[in-house]
Amino acid sequence: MRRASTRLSKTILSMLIFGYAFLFIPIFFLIVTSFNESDIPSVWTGFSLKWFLAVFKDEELLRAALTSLEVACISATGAVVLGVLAAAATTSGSFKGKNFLNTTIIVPIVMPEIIIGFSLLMLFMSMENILGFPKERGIMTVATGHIVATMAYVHMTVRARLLSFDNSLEEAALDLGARPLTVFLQIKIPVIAKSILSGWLLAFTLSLDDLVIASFLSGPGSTTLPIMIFSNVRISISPCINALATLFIALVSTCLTIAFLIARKNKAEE
Amino acid sequence: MKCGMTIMLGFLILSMFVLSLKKYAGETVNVYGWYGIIPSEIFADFEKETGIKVIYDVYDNNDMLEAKLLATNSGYDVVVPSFIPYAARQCAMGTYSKLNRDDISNWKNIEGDVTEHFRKAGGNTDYLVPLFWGTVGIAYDAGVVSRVFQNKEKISYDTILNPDKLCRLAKFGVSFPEEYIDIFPQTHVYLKLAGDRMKSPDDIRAYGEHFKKIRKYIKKFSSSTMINDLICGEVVAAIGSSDNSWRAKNAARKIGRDVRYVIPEGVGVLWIDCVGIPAKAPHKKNAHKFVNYLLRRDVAAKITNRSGILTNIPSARGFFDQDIVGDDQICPSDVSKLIIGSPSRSAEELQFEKMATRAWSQIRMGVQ
Repeated sequence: MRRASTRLSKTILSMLIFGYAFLFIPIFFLIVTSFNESDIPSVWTGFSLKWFLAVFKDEELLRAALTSLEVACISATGAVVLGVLAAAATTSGSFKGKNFLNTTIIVPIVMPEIIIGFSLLMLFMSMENILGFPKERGIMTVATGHIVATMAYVHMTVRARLLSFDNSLEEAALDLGARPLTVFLQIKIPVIAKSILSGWLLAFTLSLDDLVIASFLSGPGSTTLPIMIFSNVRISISPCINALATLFIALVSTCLTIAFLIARKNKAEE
Repeated sequence: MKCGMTIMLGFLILSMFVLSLKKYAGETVNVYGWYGIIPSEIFADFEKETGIKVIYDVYDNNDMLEAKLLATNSGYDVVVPSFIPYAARQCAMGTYSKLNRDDISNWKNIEGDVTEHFRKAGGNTDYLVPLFWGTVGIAYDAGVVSRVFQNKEKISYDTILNPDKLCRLAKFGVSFPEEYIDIFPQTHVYLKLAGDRMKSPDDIRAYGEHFKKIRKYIKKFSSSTMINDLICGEVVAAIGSSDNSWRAKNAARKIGRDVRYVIPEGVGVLWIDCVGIPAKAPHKKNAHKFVNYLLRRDVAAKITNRSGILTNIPSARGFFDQDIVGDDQICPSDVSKLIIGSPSRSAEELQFEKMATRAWSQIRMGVQ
């Protein structure tokens, strides 16, 4: 019994290696080619850092990357606010239509992105005709689209945590005279903080990745990175994109490492 | 206990910060075009000269541009649609605003053979500027092709449309374009059918019959991956546009391969990308300034030298780099034999277009 849990059998180990290889070899190649001196990705001519310098000189690419980050920040925050509220509503007490609400909230997950994008475009167009707002499409409309698409994921993540929340804590706080808002902010939120954070990161990643919704809802000055990369394909992908992707991977892995270290330190203190 | 509050506060500060990244408040012009068609230094120069900041957005296909243009207020001031069939169709629908020639003092620069072609094909220069152009011809790896044919072959449409010759190239890979407008006209000439372009359903049936014979030798139908395909040796010959071929040629030279581009006997498809100002453009004045700037000789030459896309300013030729203007295939001086499609207007023409599209997709899928 103990042996099995400490040492992996050969089959399991090879499956594990295969699985990791499957996941990480493409990323590995991407990182390697970003150091390629040649401007043709498939031909290795030597080690060079010139593409990293080129990234910081390519204004269009940088602007697209910043736009993407901006959209991702706004939409992830919006999705977290709405998602947490929705999760809090669907897990506490009972009210008419709760099940219905629960089901409808997760509809965007199964809805094809192209439908979300197109229907929102239609909505914005009629709003513009009737209300005169939004005047034109841009970062805010793309972010709105991403909130619609990602809110459901935040809702699911937070809801799963809230379902295992010990209701007696809430009752005790209420007994001691805390107002419901105080209970929500001071008891519930800290307990579900981690799931909020992971929900935020999930929404952030999904937004950073999205091409379809952004294509429909973008306007002047809101070309996101995926749109940029796709239009780039027409004249073969520049190695700058590899370099940029490597920078992103470096950033993400640094963040993950820091998060991991903090979590370990917290555990040690406990 | 404080943890939750801190996180929430963190999110708020972060989004505030992001929102506070001030948008540019001065004069702007919103340009929407292909990636790489206008090099970014042009924008910087334009801003230096006029104080107007260019906000440049990119799309990856004409359909996306069309969707944006037809969806009421796109917010763009200058767009770069392909002439056939997109710009022609959009123009007929009243998508574009009439150009004010008084604000475009460089207009005279654009008069020339290509503009004549454009007008003859039904292009309206009151609304569209036929600024960017190029051809569709054959790009091939000269080393491999001459080895296959023992130096005896002069590349022509016969090389890639004749089944007996194509089959010899097939194992090295040959790619055809994604859209029929880039290959049917040459097929028409090759098959020596009546007239200079496709007119009757019989023509389309003839193309279909011919492609049945050569379909199995075609490795792929792709216009966008042509550069990489040629350089990496995925294909040895490709039907593609002159600017992509120019890029492929330059990239191939760096790794010691000889990619060449040819429009056999001057016959090839002429394509034009126009510049237009949408009817609801918010900054029309700046848009005119920008269009006028693009029509300047030195600016046009800079665009061509960077992208390999030819600019339709005859007097700018003297400023083109030698690797462009020195190659008469990539930058042809005689455009009289080039074929340009004409936009479909009548119901009959639209029906015909539909038929051609269906025939092409059957060819692509290999339906016998």
